[in-house]
Amino acid sequence: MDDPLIIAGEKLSSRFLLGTGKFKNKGDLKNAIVYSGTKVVTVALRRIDLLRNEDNILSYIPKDVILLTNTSGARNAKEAVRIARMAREAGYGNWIKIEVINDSKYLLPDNAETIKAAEILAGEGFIVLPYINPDLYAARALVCAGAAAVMPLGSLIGSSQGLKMKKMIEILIEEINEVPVIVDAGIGRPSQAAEAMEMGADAVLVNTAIANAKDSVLMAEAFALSVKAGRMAYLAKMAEANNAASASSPLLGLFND
Amino acid sequence: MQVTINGRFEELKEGINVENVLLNYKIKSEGVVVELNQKIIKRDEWQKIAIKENDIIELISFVGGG
Repeated sequence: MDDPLIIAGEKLSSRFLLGTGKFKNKGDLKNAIVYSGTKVVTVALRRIDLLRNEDNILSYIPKDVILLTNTSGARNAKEAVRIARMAREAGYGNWIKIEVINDSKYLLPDNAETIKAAEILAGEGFIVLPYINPDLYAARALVCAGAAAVMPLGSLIGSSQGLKMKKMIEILIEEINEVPVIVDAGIGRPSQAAEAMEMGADAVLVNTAIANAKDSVLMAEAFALSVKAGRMAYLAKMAEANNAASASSPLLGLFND
Repeated sequence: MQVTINGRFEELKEGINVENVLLNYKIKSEGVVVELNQKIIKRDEWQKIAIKENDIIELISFVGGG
């Protein structure tokens, strides 16, 4: 089935995006990328440790996979813009996950600062995918600002609580048709990823649930399959649930005619 | 001369350029970004720009993240 995810004109063969944080080792990360078939992975930027020579994460990411650099660490729009410009200078493309967080307890994104950053960065030619609280007005403002997608959180980052924001995400899916809606954060199980896709989300981004699984590679593949299954179910248009029973086998034609 | 690199005081030889700084710490240039006094230094300028006393240098690269 040819059903690409299209972001900023780029056709992607997978609707599963993978975060690269917290993996136990980089070999697992590489295999998780390969076995899940993801075409977009998030990465972050940090200061180089001068005291020890660390392994470069880039050598574990296949060349045909798009790097989506997040602006984690940014507490406001200005810092997000600074990080994005650094990312572009690093020479691995211009896809940016805007992530502006100024709350250390819940790590919730600041939508207002995110919109400001999106306006500036889209104006500078970046492909911006903002991570947001699922708010319709914020999502509309981001579309106007030139965002290439909107990425509402399912629940708190790293919490594996699933789709706590389900009703609000459903509104975004219904109303935001210009760009993909990608559910990011809080997805803890493949069944929750499938649920997001059945609702009509365009894609799902997962990190912690895979990195923290005992077998990260197997879990990455499980998530990729669930995203695919959920998408197919959405396209197939599901039968309505019903309170009354409805026999699946013919009721007549054996003993009780 | 003293400079600040990634938030730490470091001693560097006089007259070295940005590229020398990376070599000094055995940092491979792939995916590395250099900020000098909050200004990004483009790769093709690494050899041209000399480091001065009290400069604030940020050496940044990619890590895993969600």
